[in-house]
Amino acid sequence: MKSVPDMPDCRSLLLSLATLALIGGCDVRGGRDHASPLARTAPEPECADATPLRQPLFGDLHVHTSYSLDAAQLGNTVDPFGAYRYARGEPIEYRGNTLRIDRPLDFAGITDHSEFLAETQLCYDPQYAAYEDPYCLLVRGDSSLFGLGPIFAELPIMSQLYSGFQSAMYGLSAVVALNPVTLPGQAPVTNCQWWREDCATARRGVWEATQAAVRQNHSPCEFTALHAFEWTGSQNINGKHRNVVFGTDTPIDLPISYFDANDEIELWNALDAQCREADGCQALAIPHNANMGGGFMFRPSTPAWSPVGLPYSAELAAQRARLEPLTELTQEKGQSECIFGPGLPFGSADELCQFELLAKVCTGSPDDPQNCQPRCSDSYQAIGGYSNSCVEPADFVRSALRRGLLEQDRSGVNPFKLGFIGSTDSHISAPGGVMERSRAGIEEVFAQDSGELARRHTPPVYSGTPAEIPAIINFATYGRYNAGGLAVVWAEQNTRASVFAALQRRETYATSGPRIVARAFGGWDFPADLCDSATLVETGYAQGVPMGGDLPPAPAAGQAPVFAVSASMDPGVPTAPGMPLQRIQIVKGWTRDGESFEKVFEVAGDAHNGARVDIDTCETHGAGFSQLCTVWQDAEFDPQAAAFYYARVVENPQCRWSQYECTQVFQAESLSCADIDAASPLARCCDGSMPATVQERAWTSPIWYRPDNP
Amino acid sequence: MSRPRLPQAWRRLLAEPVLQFLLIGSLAYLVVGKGSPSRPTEIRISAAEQHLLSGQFERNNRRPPSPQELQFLIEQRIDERVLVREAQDLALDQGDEIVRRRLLQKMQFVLQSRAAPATPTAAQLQDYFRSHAERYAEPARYTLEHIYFRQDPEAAVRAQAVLQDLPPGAPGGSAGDHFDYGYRFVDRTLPELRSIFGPGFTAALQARPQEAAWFGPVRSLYGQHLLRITRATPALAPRFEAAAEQVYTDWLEAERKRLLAVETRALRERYDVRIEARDGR
Repeated sequence: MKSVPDMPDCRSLLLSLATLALIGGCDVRGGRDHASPLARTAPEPECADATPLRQPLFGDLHVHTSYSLDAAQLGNTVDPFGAYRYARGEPIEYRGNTLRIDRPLDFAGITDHSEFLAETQLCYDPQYAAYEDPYCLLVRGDSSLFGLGPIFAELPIMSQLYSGFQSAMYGLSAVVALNPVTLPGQAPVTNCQWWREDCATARRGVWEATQAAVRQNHSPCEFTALHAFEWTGSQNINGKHRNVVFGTDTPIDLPISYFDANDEIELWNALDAQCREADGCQALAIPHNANMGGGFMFRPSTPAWSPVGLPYSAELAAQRARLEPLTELTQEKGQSECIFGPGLPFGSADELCQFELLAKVCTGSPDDPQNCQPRCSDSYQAIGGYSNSCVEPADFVRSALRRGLLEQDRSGVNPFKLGFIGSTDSHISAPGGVMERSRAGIEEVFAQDSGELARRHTPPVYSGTPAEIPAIINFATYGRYNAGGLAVVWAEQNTRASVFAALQRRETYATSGPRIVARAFGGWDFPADLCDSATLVETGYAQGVPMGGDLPPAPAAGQAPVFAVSASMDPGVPTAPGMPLQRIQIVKGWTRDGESFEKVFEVAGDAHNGARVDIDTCETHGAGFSQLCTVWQDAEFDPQAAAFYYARVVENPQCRWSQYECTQVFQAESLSCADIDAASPLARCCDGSMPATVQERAWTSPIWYRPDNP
Repeated sequence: MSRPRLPQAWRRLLAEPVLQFLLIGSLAYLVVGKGSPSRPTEIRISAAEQHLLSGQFERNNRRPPSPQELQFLIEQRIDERVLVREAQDLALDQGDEIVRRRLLQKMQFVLQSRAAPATPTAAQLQDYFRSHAERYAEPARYTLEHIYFRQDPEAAVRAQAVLQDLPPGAPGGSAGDHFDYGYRFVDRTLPELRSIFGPGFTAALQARPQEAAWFGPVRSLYGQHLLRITRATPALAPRFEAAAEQVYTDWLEAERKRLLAVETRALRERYDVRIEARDGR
């Protein structure tokens, strides 16, 4: 039984002048209470529900709070303490709205941007002298600097410039505009370029407050809080962002920022130097938004797909594979699994790759969507993956998995051996807030619309007043966003060690939001009736490998691998029942003669089950499956070809969140698309620029086959 | 020396009714207009402020400013003040969302620092606990095992057949089909079980409180189940000792909100607030 804490909630305390000095754990000025680096991990309890067969735990490993500059710019004042409370099921107050998760999470890691960690604190709290500095005015986009606040808020072009400016904060502005230009021979840009001493102290203090939030909320057997931060690196406006997650009770001394480590290799080296296994430290870096990587996220060793090739030695490939066993496959800024682009190198003909694409790629066909973008590798210098001015099919995860096999054929090591997680990338301190049909989920989308300063405060749920429509249907920039996904791990029990071990061995899967449960095993001799047996899991582990694993060598020549895949629909909650499943697919990638290939197999359920949705009412029709299970053998198996297999579990179609919004207003106002012209705030409900329906889904981490099997 | 005379142009101007009106109006405004003192025109750059400017310069440049540089900073500050005052006179701060929010935020800081929560007494926490008791209640929990039968027309029949021959102590998952969530659940609440088995399932648990024997079949979202409840912990009335930590956090949060509301309410007294009736919908 814990006593009354001496370290209360920091959210409000950080904001409160009077109490600030009293609080040790969240005093952003003071560095104290250093845990010994030797005691990084305490022994863990054996939980009552521990099982060697492992259980699914739902979590979120990508969440921003008021400690992140861009979240603070949105007006977020909820700190990591509040974010963890939200994850555990307690309500939080976000800009006047009470947000509450539909079901508590099992684990979470808050990943505030390590860049500007101190500056965010100093610039958003008027008690600091720095608050009025020009730098802070610029950071806050303060109207007293521009004198143009209302203009920014009203004119679309200015608001785009303004939000463009804000999003460039992490890249160009920070380095070029706000800091002395770094010329050859000059010292590199560092954290805390301004007011160095205050800033360095605050940086340490904010990181310690972040750790205190983890310690306060970590509750073995009930909720796992993981130490984490985001390294927000980019190159030529192409995202290389990674979340760094620690498996230990104490993380590294200070988070590593883009200013400390200018590219991903420096990040890995810094992690290897500062977080050594011998000292009991464990860390992973999880790349996210490969869809905005522009060719820089999974850099190839050959220049064909990117002008920024990275010639992997076996050693570098191994370092990468060791530190980056996972990638975030889906989040609020779209999915990174695959991109629909038939005919393009690494463009997929797979129709389901149209799901939640932030940017579509132009294929040169007359059927190309209006708002498609060129391939980054076709454009002059591959600039702008992060700003969506180009998109690189080769950088999507399925392509990276294929290229990983090619790298392995070349150097013997696969640098892109990636398991999957999903997460939200919430900037409203709401881990796991994926409920798109409720205010809490969509608030995220609206909060992101940074050009619309005043509208961010408007609850986006239509209450029946026509005058509200422009404020509600505000899809201009961020209609392509969604509320984000979840990370699921198969762990023996809900403890930090168990969760982290699952992440390390890639026994994980991603969902686009629903709590689908998905299981997959690969082997050579699974009985065909394994689904009819309660011993599927024992057999899977004993005679095969789970998701994320490597197939053992074939017991006999001529055998083809067998996969047991099972999935259960999300039961949902009373206010938002889950959707039935439609089908399970297996996605296979393989190489032959220096080329890579992919194919999607339908293995369970029914793609033509007749399930459909009426977009005028958003009612769904047609049956699906509450549960699907199959044992599937690859009849096209080539024992000489390296391959990977992952399962995709697909729900029946339903209205996309944007369509729910549109339909709600259309129904209330008795409107239809015939009444809507291009100037209407409802235009985007009807112009086809946002999909009307979605099929939410889960993706299991791949299982790999390697012919030489070293 | 002749008596001073206003120039001709001035006299004509003063004869203008519009100007007379303005002059009288202004005079009346100055005399009657409560709380509207003449516009402050003094701009003072205090020694302390000059120190601050100098300090900021030094932090950014790692050397103190030269006298010319300091003078420049002071001049700049004066111009800023002038322009800000003029902007305020022109009401440029009105209707500006950023300014409005910043003012709001600053005022809330001020109010919160004026009335920070005191350390609560044990009695205060007890009181808070009593008045929010439902929040600290312990829900009922169940430890159970099950055997699953996939949804098909024969599921219930298959379940019945298995139940016939099932030894009382048989473990969960010892027969039946594969179930993704596993076969044993420890100390789960009803909402937790609902989010595993779907709606409609948990009624069967409440009907069968404590029972080590297998029973069923019970229908879930996924099919039919045989069940064995090995432990049923009834809902517990809230206990202060068990919730002390949470009570403290909640009290602090509530107290902070309450004090802010009290301060804000007190300020409201200074205003004449009118809420007009809404028309139509």
